[in-house]
Amino acid sequence: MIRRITRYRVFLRLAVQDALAFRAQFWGTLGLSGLSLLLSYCLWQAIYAGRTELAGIRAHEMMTYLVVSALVNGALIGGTIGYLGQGFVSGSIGGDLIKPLSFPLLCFARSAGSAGVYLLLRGIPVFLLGVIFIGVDWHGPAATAAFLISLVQAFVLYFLLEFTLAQLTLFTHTSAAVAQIWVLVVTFATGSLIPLPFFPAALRRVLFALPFQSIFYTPINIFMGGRMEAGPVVDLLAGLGLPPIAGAVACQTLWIVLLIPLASGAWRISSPRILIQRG
Amino acid sequence: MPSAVTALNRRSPWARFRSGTRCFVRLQAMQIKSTLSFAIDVWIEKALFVLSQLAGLMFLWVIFTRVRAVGGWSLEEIVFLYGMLMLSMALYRLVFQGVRDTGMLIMRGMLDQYLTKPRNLLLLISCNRSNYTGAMDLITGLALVIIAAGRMDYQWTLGRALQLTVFVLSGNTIMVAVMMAQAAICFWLVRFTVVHELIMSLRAFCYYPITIYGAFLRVLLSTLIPLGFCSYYPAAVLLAKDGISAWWALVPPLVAAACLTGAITLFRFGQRSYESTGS
Repeated sequence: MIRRITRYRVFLRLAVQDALAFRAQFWGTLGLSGLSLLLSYCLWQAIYAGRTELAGIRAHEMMTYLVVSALVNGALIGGTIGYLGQGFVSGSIGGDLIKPLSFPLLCFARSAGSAGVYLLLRGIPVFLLGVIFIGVDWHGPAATAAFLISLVQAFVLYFLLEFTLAQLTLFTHTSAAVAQIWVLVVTFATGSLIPLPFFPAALRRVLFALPFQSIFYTPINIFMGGRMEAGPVVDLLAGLGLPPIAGAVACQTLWIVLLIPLASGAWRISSPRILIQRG
Repeated sequence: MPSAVTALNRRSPWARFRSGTRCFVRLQAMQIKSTLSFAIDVWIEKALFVLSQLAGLMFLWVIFTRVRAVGGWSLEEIVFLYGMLMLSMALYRLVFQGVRDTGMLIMRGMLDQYLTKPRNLLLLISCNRSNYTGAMDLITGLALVIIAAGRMDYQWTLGRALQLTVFVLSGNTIMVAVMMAQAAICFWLVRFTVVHELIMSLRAFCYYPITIYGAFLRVLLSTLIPLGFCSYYPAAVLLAKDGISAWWALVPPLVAAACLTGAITLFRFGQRSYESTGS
């Protein structure tokens, strides 16, 4: 078993090397993340202008949301859609498929490598800058530990959802449209742009019933001590006596358990359609 | 025997212009043919493009269900600004989007094959990836400007319509120039897509009045990356917002001319410094 896992470490290391190959690009990305945080901070300051609370979220909580969002953003680097799309069009996917390895696990190892590098060298530095210059509310070691677990689960969920969606590239033959769907979903359904409590009630009910909110909104909410609305599943678990933070982590785990068969099923259906056109 | 390049350069400027235009039209026709070979993707992409624009507006709608103004601008005024910015993307997306691939072409050693052709490098690269969703930018952007103006009871005069046309042309020129300049940087730094990401990030924040950002960001958006002249300044002049003088109407065309000259010069300078990375 360990030997089987070790084989995928090569792809994890390759992704790390790829991310670090161009230093100017790397430092530029770090600067860009800092600038994006600054711009978001200014925008939300203007939205809150003179108000202490909007949609049940206090101004300083919103700033915490932004800073933690930058950290989560650093950990959620996918690229599976582009990898699969480009591999399919260029024919390079053939090289991966002839390896005696599981292709989904190979993609997972690649994504994990990129995510690890970007989290350590982009997410964490930008988060620390945010902590120093903007400030965050800290809710104790228990919430932080739960946040770290939920961050790992968020990455797994992000990968499973992106991988499932990436199978569409085998039907559309290029990745541009599928990548656009993914960007749309990540931007609006995960809470990465606007915290879910800002949405009208009907839309909020739909978003809480989908797995996407577990990618961004759930880890951030856990970091904030579960202060914000958590959705019907977490409320149900709370009714059974589970604390809100533990309930949110359990809800993520539940989604992972449900999405693993979906992702592997999607791969089983789509992989026979692969036709190497050249390469 | 004179080479093909020398023979082309000996012709009159008018003949070269005609020949360049003919080449441009043929390359665009090839591009359309190539794009349509992935028909499903093209139509999904177009549909998603409209959706993503609507999603951008949804962010505004969600925010404006909670507040009445952001930075002193109402929802209608910000939608007007949003439309102006969309209009300024049309030309770049339609015709010049290929320049963003300059870094990738250099990195993979593929630029050499373009350099062997007896045509302007910028023309060849630009036509490499024309995106017909640019037409959607034009349609959606214009619709938003007209709808927002209608909701504000804005009085259109011939002068204002002409001013809008000049601003749209200037905005498009600035956007193309900024993208050309970022492509030129790749001649020195090879893989530096971060500048493109930076521009797109800054562009996303130009959907709001730039007065909400700090002095540093305002200066950045008015000088080094002058995207403020694609949306904020033209919208402020047309809507007479933020006490901006009518004389500011002269600035966007001047900035556009300066940006285009600077970008072409930088690209040519970069081209002269180019060293192949090999194939």
